[in-house]
Parts: sequence; C-alpha cells; structure tokens
Amino acid sequence: MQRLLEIAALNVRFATPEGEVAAVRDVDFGVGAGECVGLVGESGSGKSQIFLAALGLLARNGRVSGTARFGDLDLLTCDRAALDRIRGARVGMIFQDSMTSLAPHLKIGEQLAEVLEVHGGLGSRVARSRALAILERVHIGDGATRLAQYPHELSGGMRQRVMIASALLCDPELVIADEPTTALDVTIQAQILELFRELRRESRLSLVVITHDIAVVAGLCDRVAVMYAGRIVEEAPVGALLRTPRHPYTHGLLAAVPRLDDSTDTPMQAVPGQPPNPAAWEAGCSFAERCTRASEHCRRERPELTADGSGTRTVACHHPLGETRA
Amino acid sequence: MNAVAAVTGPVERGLWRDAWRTLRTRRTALAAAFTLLLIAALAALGPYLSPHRFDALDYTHILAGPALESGHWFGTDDLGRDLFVRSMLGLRISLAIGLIATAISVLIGVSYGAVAGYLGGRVDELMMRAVDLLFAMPQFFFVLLLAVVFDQNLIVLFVTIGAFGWLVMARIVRGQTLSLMHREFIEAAIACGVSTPRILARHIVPNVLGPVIVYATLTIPQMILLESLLSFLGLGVREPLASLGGLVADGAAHMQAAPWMLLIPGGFLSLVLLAFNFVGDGLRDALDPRER
Amino acid sequence: MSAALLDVRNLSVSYPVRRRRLDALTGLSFTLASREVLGVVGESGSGKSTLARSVLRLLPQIRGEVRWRGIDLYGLAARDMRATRRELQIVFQDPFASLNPRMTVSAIVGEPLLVFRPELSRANRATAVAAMLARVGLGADLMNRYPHQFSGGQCQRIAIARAVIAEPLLLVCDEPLSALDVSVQAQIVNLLADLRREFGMSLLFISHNLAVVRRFASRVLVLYLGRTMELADRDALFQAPLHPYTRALLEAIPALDPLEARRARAVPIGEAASPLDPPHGCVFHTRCPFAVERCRSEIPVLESVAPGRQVACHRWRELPAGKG
Repeated sequence: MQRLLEIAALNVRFATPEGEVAAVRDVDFGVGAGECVGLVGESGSGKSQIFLAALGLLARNGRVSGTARFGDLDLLTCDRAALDRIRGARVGMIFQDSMTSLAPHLKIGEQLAEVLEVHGGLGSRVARSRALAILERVHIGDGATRLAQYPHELSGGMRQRVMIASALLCDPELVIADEPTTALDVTIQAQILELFRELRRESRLSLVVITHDIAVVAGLCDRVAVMYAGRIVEEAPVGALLRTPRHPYTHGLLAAVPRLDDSTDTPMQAVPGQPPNPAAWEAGCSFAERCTRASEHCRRERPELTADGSGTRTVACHHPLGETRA
Repeated sequence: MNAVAAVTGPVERGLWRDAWRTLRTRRTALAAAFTLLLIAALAALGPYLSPHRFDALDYTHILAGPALESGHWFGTDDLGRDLFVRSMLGLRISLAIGLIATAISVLIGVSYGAVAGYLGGRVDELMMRAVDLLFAMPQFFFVLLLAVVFDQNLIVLFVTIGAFGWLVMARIVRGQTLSLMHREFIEAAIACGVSTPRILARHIVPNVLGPVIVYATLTIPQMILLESLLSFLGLGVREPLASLGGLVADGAAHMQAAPWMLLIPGGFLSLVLLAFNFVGDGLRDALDPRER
Repeated sequence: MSAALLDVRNLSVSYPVRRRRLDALTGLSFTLASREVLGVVGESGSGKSTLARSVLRLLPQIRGEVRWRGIDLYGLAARDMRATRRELQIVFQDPFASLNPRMTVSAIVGEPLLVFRPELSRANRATAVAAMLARVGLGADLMNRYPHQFSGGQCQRIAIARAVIAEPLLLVCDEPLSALDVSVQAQIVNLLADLRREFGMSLLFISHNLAVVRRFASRVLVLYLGRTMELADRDALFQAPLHPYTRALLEAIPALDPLEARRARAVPIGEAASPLDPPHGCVFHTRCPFAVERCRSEIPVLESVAPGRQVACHRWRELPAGKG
C-alpha cells in the first residue's frame, strides 16, 4: 500500500567555504497514513534537513537529489505553487525553536489568521473562530486573551502549543514535529507528549517526530529510525528497537539515558568520542571510530541497511547486536 | 541547536577569518583599501620625487598650470609654490590628523565605554549623563574657540578634534559591553577572581573590537573633514603648512584663474574620504553580522 | 559528621523588573558538608540559576546568609573574597557562552592559576594546564586553539578544566548537561564523578533532570518558584516522595518502555506560574492535583518530618503513597 510520505535515496549537500558538506546521505524514509514515525539523531546527524529539503525549505547553498513523494505529488520536482499549497495545508511543520519561529512583532491571533487566509481564503471572523477552536483543541485556556498576546508574553510551553495549533489549523494529513519538546521543562514535556497522543487518537493524523531524546519516541511513535552522520543506521518498531537494539549506536543512546533504577556506583555507559564533523568523509562506517565492536572490515567497507528475517526492521552494521539488552 | 548551524559548524567560526573571507568579496572595499595604500605611499614618498620645497616661492611661475617641463607637475599657486609638493603635504597632514585624532577618540572612547558598561549602576548612569552633556554642546564652536585661543597650535588641534570624537565611540562600546555582561564567560572570570582591569583588558575589550574597528574606520574621514572645514575658515593648520582643506580654501579663491588649484587637492580630499567610507562599509559587512 | 562547608540560611533574592519585583528565591536554607553532593532539582522559573550565582557571590546582594566555612560571604571585603573564590567554582550550562571566544584554550584554563597561584612560572603554568587538559580528555596539541574550533562537549570539558584546576572545595554545576548531545552527556557525567572523587570536592549539582541528579547526589532539594518543596536523602526521595511536585517530576520522566510510556500519567496541569506573579498560599497549588482550600490561602511551612527530611505541604501526611 502506498505510504503517505515516501522519501527515497535522498541526498542533501551544502556548499560551504570549507568545501561540500553532505548533511543527508542516501536516506529512505516513509510514513504511512495514521502512522507515527520517530527519527532519532544528535546534532549534525541531518535529521531536520531531510524534511526541510523535502518541503523546499533548504538554505540557499543546499542541493537535493533523490525523490520525495507526498501522496501523488513529487515534492522535489513540482513547482513552487504546488509546494506552497501543500505546506501548511496538507503538511504541517512544527519547527525547533518556538521563540524564533513565531514572528515576535505579530500577535498570536494575527499569525494564526495569516495561515488561514493564505490557505483557506477565510474571512477574518471565520478565521478567528477557527483559531479559537484550534487553541482549545490544544488545551490553551482563555483563547481570546491569547490571541491578543505577543509571543514573548507566553511561556515556553504555551508557545509550543501555539506552534502545534498553527500546524493543525488547516487539518493537515501529516505533521512534522522537529524537536517538539526540547527546551521545555520535563513536566511541560509530559503534557505536550500527552497532547500529541490525544491528537493521534482523535484523528488519523500522521506524525513524524524528530528528536535527539530517544525517550520521547517511546511513548509516541509506532516506528523509529535512528540517524547517524547523515545516514539511517537502524529502523524498527518502537518496542523492538528499545528492547533489542541491533546497532551499537542505538544501544549507546539507550545506555546514555540515566534511569531511576540504575546502579549509581558504576560509571555510565558512555559512547566514547564525539559526533562526527559533517564535513568529514570516511570510506567505512561513520560510527567505526566510536564503536566498541568495530573491526577493520568496518573501517574499510560501509555497511548497507539490510532487513532482518522478520522484514520489520533494518540495520546498517557489520556486527549488529544480537542478544537481548539486559 | 539550529539545524543548519549543526551541519555547517558553529556560527562564530573565528571572527577574523570569516571577516577576511567576507571582505575579499567586497570589491569596492578592497579597491578602496588599495587606493588608500597608494595614496599613503604617495604622501610618504611623493615630496622626495620633486625638486621643489613646499614653501619655496617661484616667482617665475605664478598660478602656472600643470606642466611636465616646468617641473611643476601640478602647477603652482598664487605665491608660486609647487602644488604637487603641497598636495602631498596636504595629504600627509590630513591623513595624520584623521588617524591621530581617531586614535585618541578610540583610546578614550573604548576605555570610558568599557568601564561604564562594566561597572553599571550609578557609575554608569553618571558617566553616560556626562557624555550626553558633552554631546549636547556645540562641538564645532568649541573647536573653533580653542583653535583661536591656542593660535592654531597643531597639537591642540589634534587633541581637540579627537577629544570630541570619543563620545559616540564610548556609547557604542558601552552598549556592546552591556550585552557582553550577560555572557557567562564574564561571570566565569569574576568567579575565578580575575581583577577588574584584567577583565576589561582581556575579556571585554577584545570582544568589542568588531564595532570599534568599523566605527574607527568611519571616524577617520569625519576627522579629516572637520579639520578641512576649520582650514576653510582659516583656522586650521597654520601657514605655510596646509592640509587638503587649506589647499581647497586657497584654490577656491583662485577658482577661475587657476582651476587646478581647487580641483587637485579637492580631488584628493574626495578620494580619501570616499575610500575610507568604502573600507568602513566593507568592514562593517565583514565584522558586524557575526557579532552578537 | 563533618561540619558544614556551605551553610545557606533563609536565602532570598529579588530582582526589580519593570517596576515590579521578581522574587527569584524565598527563604532557602540548606547545608553542604565536605565531599558531599547536594542535588537541586527545578524547572524554569524555579530560581536555580539565581541560587548558583548566590552561592558564588556573583550577585550584588542578597537577603539572608550564605556562610562558607563559617564566614559570611557577602560580608567579606573584596580582596578577601577574591582569595576565597579559589575554593568556589562553577560550571555553566552553555559551554560556548562560558568561554571567552578571543582567548586560547590554554589561556582560558590557565587564568585561574594566574590569579590564585601567581608564584608559578610561565612554564610551570603551561605544564599544569596541559596536565589538566589531559585529565579532562583533551590532547595537549589543542592548547592553542580557540573555543569555536571545538564541539559542545569539548567546550564543557574545557570549562570543567578551568573550574577544577585551582582545586576548589565546592563546585557548583548549573545544568552542565542540558546543552550537550545525549551521547556526550554520559561522558561528562562520568568525568564529573571522577574529578569529584579525585579532588574531594563538594558538589552543588543543579539540574531539571531528576534521573541525572540521582547519579551524583546524596541529598536532593526540590525547588519550585524559588521555594523549597522537599529536601531529603536521595534514596528516601526517590523511593517515597512526599511532595506532590516531586511526584509529578518523577511521573513526568518519560519511560523507555513503550507500554509504560503510554499509560495514563498524573501529569500536572497548566503552566508553571510566573515568578513575577506567584500564586497566593502554596505556590504549587495551581498545578497540584491534591490542592484544597487551605492550600490556596496559607503558605505551607517547611516542616521537618524526619532527620534530614523536610516537606512544605499541608497534606503530605494524608496523600496516597507515592511512586516507589
């Protein structure tokens, strides 16, 4: 069955003074209708660039190749007008930093109304009632007051809700949430995650959650893909990924999360080294220099994403972990 | 962390390297800088090329036009003085005034502004009110007054012109310092017990250099122009020395008989002012966007 | 039982903000013994950064007392304070912002030595800096580079090197992990734990992440809108939290098991109130699922419920047992 969003062989390169930087390398990614897929990766892994590229929001020095299909539309080859029509209306995007994504000089009501007028051609009164309705849907109380406020007058959590509201305004089929809970307090984060769960229950919303915090995807996503240095290194249903990670990096990410039942006497299992420089290019596996299981083979030959027997998961590793995580 | 920045590296990739890279793309700024270098070389070496002295009177060539054979390449003025050498002299003096006066205002302005911004509170308020007060005073009249009182003494001229230029510099540096105070490395320095003079010298001043350089480069032409104005009024450098402004004043008086007397020093003056402004603009592009 | 190194009594800090007053901290009291680690947990608006700065006398004035080794820090003359600063150091949240972009790494790490050990020759200082950098996992070949040439994790290591090189007795860590990549956080956790053991430092570890605090702390103080909600030994707090806010914090930690993560949780309602306009009575009552009329009008007193255990809640006795 055709998936709602299908990205294949996506490559994103940036021309910088230091040379060409490959931010996204050969990425396949898909979201089915009503599905929630998580994309986990650290800074520099390229996870945001995939969707910025697909939606035509790439920086000026960026080059894309590959395919990105949304429904019947080929996003990378269609004209600007077609892209403008689906952005906001059929695909909602929640950007990373709500403080910089909301225009500081416009009231909330004006920003929401702008989206409605551009996409729905709605008159101002209808737009206002629609805006109030959407604020209520994301549990922002006292919507009338909020509409008249400026972004800086709202708290971080409230702004995030406004961002979510703005993405939902036109009833999109797909919402891409880029780091939706980063920079939020943990109690607010719990609220926002609960809100996402509720939204998914209410409608057949497809959701992509981009995050560096693997714990966020646990309670929200059906499937999770893990990115490292511009490539997808593992993809699996969420339960399988969390219980039995196959890629050493995934395992490292999970081990790096301090748990309430950890022993505090032993050091944490840290992934040695640091995330790679995106400008660097290696012949073999990008993770080899930080991997405790790396062999000479890993350094020479890049592992391809291969499916396992069940067909539900893939991993790109020459020596994947096989045993169940303790 | 901003996604694009994550891919292309942290934004502040080294102020000077980035600045140089940007500057390289600003053709007008580069051309202007090159021109300035040429002019400076000319001003330094030019007088040695000509056999004439700047104050030598040549009665055989009064108000003579530019001619190669006569040895007066730029012609002569109404007293028979060679214009080439005098133009070079004028360049030297104008450039000197511009640079020295700017240096004075940078020194005073940066120290004053950094201290005010760092100390904050009442002291800062007092210091900036003083600046406001001085700002409100008619600078030009003061300079005129002092020029008259001190009989156009060259040193006094340098100092008084520079002494008013520091006001805006102080304001700029104070503003930059205030925003720096919120950066944690200043708090870290305090926590490490670093003394106030050292914090100012090693932590604050090096981090405000960007706007200081830009503004200084744009101040130089202002200083030159101010002195030129004084000279035009007859209150600049004293005869027989002359700045470009003085030469322009002389030339204006003999505009019809000997237009080259006005055009040549005027041309140099315009070129110098324009060049400094272009370089300043280029530097602002190169340095400012990177500054927080 | 060693004497308290740090003794904070009734600490209150206010800032004037646009004709109003922001009470960042109110009536905070705690002690910290030698080699002990106190974890301070709080979200935004809790006043934790203000606390970090108060302890180091980076604020101009406070109400209440901060006593370091028996001496009132805010009563010290400037010169004596400077000498005392050697014993109190801090690591900030943003690794890039805490390093002077115009100084080389060796100059940054060497600066405390310039101040506190001026007798050292330049060569000896350089050796000490190189040794410290190696200790935090950075090669000596990086000494002449500038901060912008390093990653966030490396910059934080540099900041830690600078804080520790003069061998302080107390290290305040103000959210040292929040700005770092997840795969690097664990490295820094291990580094801090190692250094603490090696130098015998006390730690005031401030974080919004309870699970991380658990790694370091022997005691935990929970802060909300500038007030102490709960103070307890680590194990007691995690096994049987008494204050509703502590329980909410524990509940809010996302579980790594999908089934566990999706079960309905007692998520606190609403936003944290603004410190500019705190609620009357108990500051937490607007978000507390157990709030009653008394909570709206009467500020709960921080009461001692057991040795070393305090709670500020009217109803702690009657609440159902917390997450164990």
